[in-house]
Amino acid sequence: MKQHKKPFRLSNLPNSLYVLFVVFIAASLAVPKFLTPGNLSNLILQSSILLLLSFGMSLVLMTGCIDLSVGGILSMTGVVMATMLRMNVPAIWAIAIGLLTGVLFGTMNGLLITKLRLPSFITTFATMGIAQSIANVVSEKRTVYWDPKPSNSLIDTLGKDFIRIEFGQTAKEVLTISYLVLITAVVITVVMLLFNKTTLKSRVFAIGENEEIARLAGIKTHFWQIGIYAASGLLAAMASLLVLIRTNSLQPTTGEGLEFQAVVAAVLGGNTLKGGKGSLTGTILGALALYSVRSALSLAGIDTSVVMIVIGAVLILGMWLNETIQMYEERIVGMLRSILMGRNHGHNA
Amino acid sequence: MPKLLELQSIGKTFPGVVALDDVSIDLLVGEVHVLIGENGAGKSTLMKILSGAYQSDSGSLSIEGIEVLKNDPKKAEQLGIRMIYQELNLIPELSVMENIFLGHELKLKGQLFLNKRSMYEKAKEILGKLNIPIDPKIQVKHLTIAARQMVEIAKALSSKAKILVFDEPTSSLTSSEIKDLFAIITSLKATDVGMFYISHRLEELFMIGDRVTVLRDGKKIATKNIKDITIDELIEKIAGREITEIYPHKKQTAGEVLLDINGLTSEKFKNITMDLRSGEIVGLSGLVGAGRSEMARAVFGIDNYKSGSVTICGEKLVKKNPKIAGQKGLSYLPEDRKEQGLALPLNVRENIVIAGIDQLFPNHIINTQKETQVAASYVEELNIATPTTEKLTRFLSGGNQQKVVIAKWLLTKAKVFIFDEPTRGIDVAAKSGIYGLMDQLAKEGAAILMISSDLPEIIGMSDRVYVMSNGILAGEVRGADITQEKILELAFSHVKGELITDETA
Amino acid sequence: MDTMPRLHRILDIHTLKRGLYSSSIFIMLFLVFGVFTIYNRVAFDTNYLKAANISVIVNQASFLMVVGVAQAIALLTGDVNLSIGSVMAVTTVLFGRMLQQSSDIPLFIPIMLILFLGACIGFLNGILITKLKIPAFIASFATMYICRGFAWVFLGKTVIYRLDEGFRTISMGKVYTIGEFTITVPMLIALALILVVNFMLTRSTFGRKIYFVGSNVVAAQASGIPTDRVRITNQVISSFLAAFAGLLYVARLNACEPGMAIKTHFEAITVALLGGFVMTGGYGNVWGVVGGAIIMTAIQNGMNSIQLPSELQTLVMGLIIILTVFMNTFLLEKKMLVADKNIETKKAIISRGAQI
Repeated sequence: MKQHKKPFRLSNLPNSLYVLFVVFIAASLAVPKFLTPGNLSNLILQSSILLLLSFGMSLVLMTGCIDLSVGGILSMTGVVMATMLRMNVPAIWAIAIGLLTGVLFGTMNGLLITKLRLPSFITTFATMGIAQSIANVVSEKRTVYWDPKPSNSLIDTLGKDFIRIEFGQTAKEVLTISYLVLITAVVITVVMLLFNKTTLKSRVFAIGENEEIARLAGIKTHFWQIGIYAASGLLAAMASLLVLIRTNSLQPTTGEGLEFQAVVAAVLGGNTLKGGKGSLTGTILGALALYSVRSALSLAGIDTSVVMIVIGAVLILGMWLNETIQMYEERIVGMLRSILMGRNHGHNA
Repeated sequence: MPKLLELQSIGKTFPGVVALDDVSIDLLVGEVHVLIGENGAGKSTLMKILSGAYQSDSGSLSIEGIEVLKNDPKKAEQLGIRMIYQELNLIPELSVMENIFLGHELKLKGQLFLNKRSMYEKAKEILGKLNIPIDPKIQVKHLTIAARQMVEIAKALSSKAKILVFDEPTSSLTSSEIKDLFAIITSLKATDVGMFYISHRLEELFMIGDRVTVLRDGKKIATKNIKDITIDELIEKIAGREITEIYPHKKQTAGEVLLDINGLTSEKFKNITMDLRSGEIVGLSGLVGAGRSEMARAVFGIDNYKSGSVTICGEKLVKKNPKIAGQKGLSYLPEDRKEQGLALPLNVRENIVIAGIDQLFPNHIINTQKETQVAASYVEELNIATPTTEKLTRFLSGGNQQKVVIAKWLLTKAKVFIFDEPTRGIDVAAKSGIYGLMDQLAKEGAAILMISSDLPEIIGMSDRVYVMSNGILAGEVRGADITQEKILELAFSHVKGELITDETA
Repeated sequence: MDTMPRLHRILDIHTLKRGLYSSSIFIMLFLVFGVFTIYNRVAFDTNYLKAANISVIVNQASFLMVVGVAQAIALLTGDVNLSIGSVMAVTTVLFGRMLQQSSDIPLFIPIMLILFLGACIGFLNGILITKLKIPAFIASFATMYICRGFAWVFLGKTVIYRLDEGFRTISMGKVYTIGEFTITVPMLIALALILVVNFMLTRSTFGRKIYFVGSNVVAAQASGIPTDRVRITNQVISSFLAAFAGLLYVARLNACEPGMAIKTHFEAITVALLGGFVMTGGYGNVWGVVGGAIIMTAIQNGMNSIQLPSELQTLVMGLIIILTVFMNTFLLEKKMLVADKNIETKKAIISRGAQI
């Protein structure tokens, strides 16, 4: 009997692996300061915030929708938490309420999209404005600070380093893993566990591929869609918590434009705007690739305007790479087969 | 045997079509009840009502004597009704086992995490029973159409089923696979499962069925025990009239070659050589996935091809340029009218003129009055049932939509027509209208290539039949050789029984 | 049927529906003007509806109409153009540089050059979308970054002030005043643009192809339409109009700066969607953009008039977008179905809609 096993394919690997690979090698060679423990710790810390956002975005994209409001939710929940800290609410409560705000806002997105049947792009675009507006109103467009008090010492603690390994004396030779990174790692692991070990993946892929098939299989499509938007809101609120801990203050405009970066990381990671497929591992690599570019260029002292150009180019390169690898793979596989078939033929004769 | 299911006086209407009219049918425990009828007779609609995908307009459904008041997919599943759909309902990015258990996954204690191990074991067991050598962990996107169809069957059997519906399960299976399937069906009968079985292959019905119900134009014609009926009686009941009446095409002498396809090769098909002559209707048969539509698309220039040539009326066509192909007199009427043939949000007028718009208005400015007149003249000529040319095409019935697609190409004065599944999902009356049109086109000197999976249609309409199998032109049959057996033999001739494709889907 | 095609066309519900669809924006317009008029009357005893104020609103809206049309054209084929704002920035920055470097060349040369540059960027977008098969959202997002980056590279943190006064008439010129209502040059430019584009979309064969591609790209291919060419041309027109809008904007601001129009791509999407265009393509009447632009300006103007804090304005805008899109996609669909004589159709559509 012929073996009907899963064939290995290059194109089955997340697309962002190649992008990250190319970017990483190029950066390591061109920028000497790039491949140092200090810079790598910094890189991971910086990408943590984006990682959480793009995880939520990936899940939404897999259902065939988009969530442009994540940046707005980040600002809004951040302002909510920071304001409460300022009002001396215990940190744990501030955080809980902040996260709850994110969930509620996400749920509202989901309700608008499923129950009123509005297109997700324009709806979340509008709610992005609403969330950002709430952030601005509450904060009166000023950065929110709070006084360090025993009630909010948690925030301070979370900002500290968890692991610190010194390879040398200078800052660039110190590898640090902060609690922030630890939180991110835990959240990411939990999401990936839920994605791979529960029905989440089948639900999300089925809804994204064809809502009608999902419905016929007895899946409550609206329930899941609303849930995914709520999760996206929650992850945005968590990202906001990271910002808050890291900067020990909060700017009300901190989330502006982040939704696009989240889309870029997710799309580089092989998630499509059409839904029905995607990879969370890809998203992690995509986010890392994006920040590798930023970090390398800023280390090399290149102006931010050029950074924009390079990121645009990397995005196009990534998308193009995906197409090309698929195309060449078919050709390679075809060539191999013709060689094998030719040999078989000779043998028969 | 006790009654398992009873559907009483079911009625259902769609825009412009009465799909079902007062149909009553029942199913006994351990029975295979065959549903038969032409495309559009209402079989699939009836089964979709049973599975809760559609709501009936009237009538009632009761299972084991208890009436089901409001049926929906979830409820149907709880009642133990399982469908094996004609169109494949699998999620390509998920694995075989994830698809099999979609909607009723096995979970570990605590009901949160999946019990992947037992899902794997159970999937393997089901696949083993069906004699399908596929690894349950492989993604469905890597499977061939035949393998997907078998996974569909496995999916239906994965949970406790009381009533199974097979909607043309054998259309892309090889004869040994069909034998395996029939063995399963026989063993299921012993476990008191009741089954509806829809198929076009009459000889199959006599092998597997207990009773047969014939549907025609949405009405029930008769229910008989298989033993009490002959094939000829059945055919007569299905058609309800002389066969020649439905298929008006009279064979005639073919004229000069209009379309010449020479050695056409791409990833999906290899070395296709065929010709079409003026006045001919040539059938192109083959299994789903044999590469027929892909070849047609390449000929018309939508997709690219590697080597070979397409010549129309002595002029060679350039690759991948549908515009030139259209101007030279080639036309393509795609498989799926709604998805590929029409712009449904646009109206009849806009759809009719689109292909010939550059010829109609060479200076690029649309003269609305002229446009409306032209469109109205085709509406009249083809008898398209629409009050005005301004009606949106999405509100037309299937037959009238198909006529709009035909009108589009009449306007360009096309000489060669490639019809891809021209009558799929069209009711019988409208069907004969389409056949009449095709015949008329051939009489006026056009050459027609008709791709169809409906064998009676191929046999009834074609002067010659090409058969493709697994991307290869398996052969050509003419005259008295045009029989179901011969065509099927060719259609399966290059099928290797492979379950995994090399293409990246 | 042949004898009275015209009458049928006028009476047919599906023709009416198209009119209705784009006119939902005008219903919103009445609502918005109504609310602000009453509020102004009651709270401040001022007349919101006075001609001078309307004139200001329409003048401001004219600028939005140009970018709105640029976006609407991209949306019609189911694509989107996120690079509109960046194209405006990069082209005008170059324009400013050219004026600065050589003040003696005739003005139309740099104008022509930068319009051509805009078209080239559109061509690049089109190639990325059709040939490299990158979704328009991602492709135009990448070019948005690239163009904005180049704008900063060219000009750094400097700003070019004081443009040619003659050039500024395209934005500041006044033509005629009736009572308190002033007809300005931008109004005439926007009107001319709308008329030209409307003619292109409704009366030219190219326009028909655009709608067909947007409605169903596969069917368009199968009808012999060179779909890639149509989509590329569309992107070229869209970015060309963006460059043109850039000129109007800098003439009004009297300055070229790389950070200009940072959110214009979003404004353009909002205007187009308010005007009845849809992200999936194939739908929309360019006159809807007029309504969309006026409603957006009227809301901003009105919110200023009632002294609503600027922070809250985004919130109100968000709510109005949701409301309008809801009206467009849902209420009018229902209204159309109720008016349709074919009851069966109605049932089918409603049940199908419920499934989707």
